[in-house]
Amino acid sequence: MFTMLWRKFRRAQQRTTTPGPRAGRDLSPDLEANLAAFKRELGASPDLIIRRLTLGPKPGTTGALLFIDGLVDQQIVNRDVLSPLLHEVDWGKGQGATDLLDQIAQNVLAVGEMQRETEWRQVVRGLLAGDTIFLVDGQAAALLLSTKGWEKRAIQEPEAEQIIQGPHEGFTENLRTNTALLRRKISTAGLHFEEMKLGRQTQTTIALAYVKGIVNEKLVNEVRSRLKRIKTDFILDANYVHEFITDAPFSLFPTVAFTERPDVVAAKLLEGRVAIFVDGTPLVNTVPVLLVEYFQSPDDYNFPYYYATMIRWFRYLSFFLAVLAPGLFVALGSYHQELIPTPLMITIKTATEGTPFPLVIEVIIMGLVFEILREAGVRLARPFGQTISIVGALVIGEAAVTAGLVGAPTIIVIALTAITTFVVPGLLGPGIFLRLIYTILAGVLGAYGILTGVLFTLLHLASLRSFGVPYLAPLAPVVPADLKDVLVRAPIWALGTRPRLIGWLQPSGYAADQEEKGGDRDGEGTW
Amino acid sequence: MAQELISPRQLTFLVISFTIGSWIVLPSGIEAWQNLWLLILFALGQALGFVYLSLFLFRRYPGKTLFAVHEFVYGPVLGKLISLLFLWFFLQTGAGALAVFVTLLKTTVFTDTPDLALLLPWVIIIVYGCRRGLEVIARSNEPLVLATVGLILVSVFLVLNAFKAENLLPLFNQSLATVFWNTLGIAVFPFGQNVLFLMLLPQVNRPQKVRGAVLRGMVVAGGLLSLLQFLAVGVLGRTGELFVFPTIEFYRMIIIGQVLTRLELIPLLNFLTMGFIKIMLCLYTLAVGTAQILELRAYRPLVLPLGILILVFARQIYPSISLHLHYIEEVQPLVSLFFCFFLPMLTLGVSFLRGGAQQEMAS
Repeated sequence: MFTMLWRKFRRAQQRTTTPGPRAGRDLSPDLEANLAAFKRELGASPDLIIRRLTLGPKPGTTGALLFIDGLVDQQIVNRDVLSPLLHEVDWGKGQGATDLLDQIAQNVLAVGEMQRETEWRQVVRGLLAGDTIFLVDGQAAALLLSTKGWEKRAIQEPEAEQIIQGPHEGFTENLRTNTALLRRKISTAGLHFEEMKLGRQTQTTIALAYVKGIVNEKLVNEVRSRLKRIKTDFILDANYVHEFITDAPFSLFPTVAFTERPDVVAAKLLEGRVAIFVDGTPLVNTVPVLLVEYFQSPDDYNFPYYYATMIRWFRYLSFFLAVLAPGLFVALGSYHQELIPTPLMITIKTATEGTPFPLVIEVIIMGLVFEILREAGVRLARPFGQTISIVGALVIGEAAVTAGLVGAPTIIVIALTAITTFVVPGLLGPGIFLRLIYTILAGVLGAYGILTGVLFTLLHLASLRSFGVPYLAPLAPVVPADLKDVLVRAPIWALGTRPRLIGWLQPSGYAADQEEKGGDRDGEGTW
Repeated sequence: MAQELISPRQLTFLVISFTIGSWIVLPSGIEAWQNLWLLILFALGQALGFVYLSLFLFRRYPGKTLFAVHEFVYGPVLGKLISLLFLWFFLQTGAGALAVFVTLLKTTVFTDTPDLALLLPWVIIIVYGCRRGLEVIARSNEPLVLATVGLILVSVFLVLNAFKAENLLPLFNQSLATVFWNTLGIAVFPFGQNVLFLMLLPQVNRPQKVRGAVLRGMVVAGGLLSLLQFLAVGVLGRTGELFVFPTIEFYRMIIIGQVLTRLELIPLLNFLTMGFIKIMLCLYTLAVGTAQILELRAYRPLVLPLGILILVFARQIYPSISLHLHYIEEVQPLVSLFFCFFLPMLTLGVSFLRGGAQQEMAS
């Protein structure tokens, strides 16, 4: 049934595209015709600047510069393009050039990156991406001068992924800045980028990054082919790409990871993963992803190993509580009272005495209220924040208990889940969803209901794969060597080997010539 | 259909949970209660012998399931009939485990809940898991086995204050006949059932390691069961044999401080997961086996109807726990012996008599 839905879904995806600029047309040799065509294509947009000029050894040859105001660095255009063209030209040089355009490209323009194009569509694309177009009358070709330059945000610490110790820089919205940040971390020739344009209308640049020699080529091919299959009008964020290339589009659990941190991406690439940069967003996708990755934080590697291990276990515990606490509370309170020590039971019973709703309804309603408060807190303008906390904490929490509508233990449980949910931010969505389901199951069948739900989740997780790698690895299938970074955070010098199922191409974390061992490829193809 | 492969380690884990399965909550051979932990070890030795011999079948016909071997050895008609008998055995094993766990839940926690409310969610997730395939079953089994082994080992420390060594006495107070009968019963009931894995062995990625993997799994499972029985006798004493589910009673005895009391729900849920894997393996084998007998290409469409069949059987052939107990004591050893020892040995014998297996396989 899912395959059918999936096929339908794919078809729906393909329908969301509209025809792009007309293909296959070439530039005309007539300058005026070309300029007219540009004006027709782009409309009367005032940000299209056309600068006509006369030039060349033969007097009377005209040319034109076109660029989009705001997408180019005006200084480069004036100093390195316009000024050489108008002033210091020695037309006698450049004997090897075949024509005037070539001669200008070789001798006059002081721009590092340029490209000669004849096809109309490519020229328009270049113009819209921030290139300056140089046209000469009488030639059916254009020079695309890379003069990109626009306002961009400075490098800041990502707000969603803050750490205490360690590097505080984060990616920005500008793709080139991001790739440079990564190059600064990995100074090996093996770090390769591959770029492609996606989105018919947005023409967003997507860059694939991997470290050759460590990454599995099959993985790169798979990512590349999945990216090529994307047919859509617009890519505005990393999640647009994620939802197209994910292995399990209907699963609660993400099979592609996001991060805004260059150090995290660098670490993942060096383990043999592939990163997908999307221009216009600081979020970078990395694949394949394992469930345990969501429980790892860069801070783990910046603190002593014993402390990091403890913190990591707190994170496991927190996620466990975030998902199961309301369910367990309902199950214990309504089915298995004998499990609660008697004095505690008496306290709870006294507190919930006289509340009008069954425990499960109480927990679900309060959970819902909390989620709404959280959502409101995110969306509201900052000055309103205080109102939310007063209304949330005092009116709903305190007053509901005082009025006898809700038991105080329920509020405590909901508060506990509220805090613990944010310990593992990557699994916020699945956490909230599973919590609701487990609470309902607990209300229906107690601990047995929760167990049923947990087993179902386990089966589902075991059946998930992220780009061919089992999602639950190294816990299922058990890869003993990889547990060193899951159950504990072993000291850095003991973390020498890459994750077995991802980096098996070059298992040792040290240089290949230092320790050349094939490793028995247990995992390969058998997960 | 792409063959689903599991690793030898996953096979070991599956053997552990399949063996522990339902026996851990409903031990057979209760009449030898005092000596049960020793009998398990005897039975383990005996069963290792059985299974070692049965594995010759797999050595002789590598890459073939038990049913394929049947057809090869007995010819298509007789072979299919014998395979049908085995299907019955798998069905009955799965239904038995399902019945045990539902009874357990009904007697301990959900006294007023109707059977179906407990059976249905269980069967639904089992069907879901089987449709996902053996790989998924094996993978989800791994953390569950680790949790169970961990729990059993931790319980050693939890019962230290309740454990009384004199409860272990008297030892060897039973007649030889009782000892033999119960040893045989244990050898064929939790351990011998591993004959089911003859259906799954071709799906192990490194066939040369299969034998070690199965035997290792059985040894670990036997050790765990024996340990748990040892603790249970030490804690419960002679009263243990009065209970239907002594393991759960044993955990009920744990009292540490005022906090860790009446813990039986936790092991109960934990052992439920072992039964879950066991039933799922039975259903999977049942579906795959049926598909083989009927020469279908895919087993998946069969899973849901067979799952419903297991549900119905669990309610029909084990209507009450006392009947079930009676069956376990009197009948099951013989039935299991027939399937777990006699039939595989017969097949092996016939195949040796016919001879030339390898050459025929090669042609």
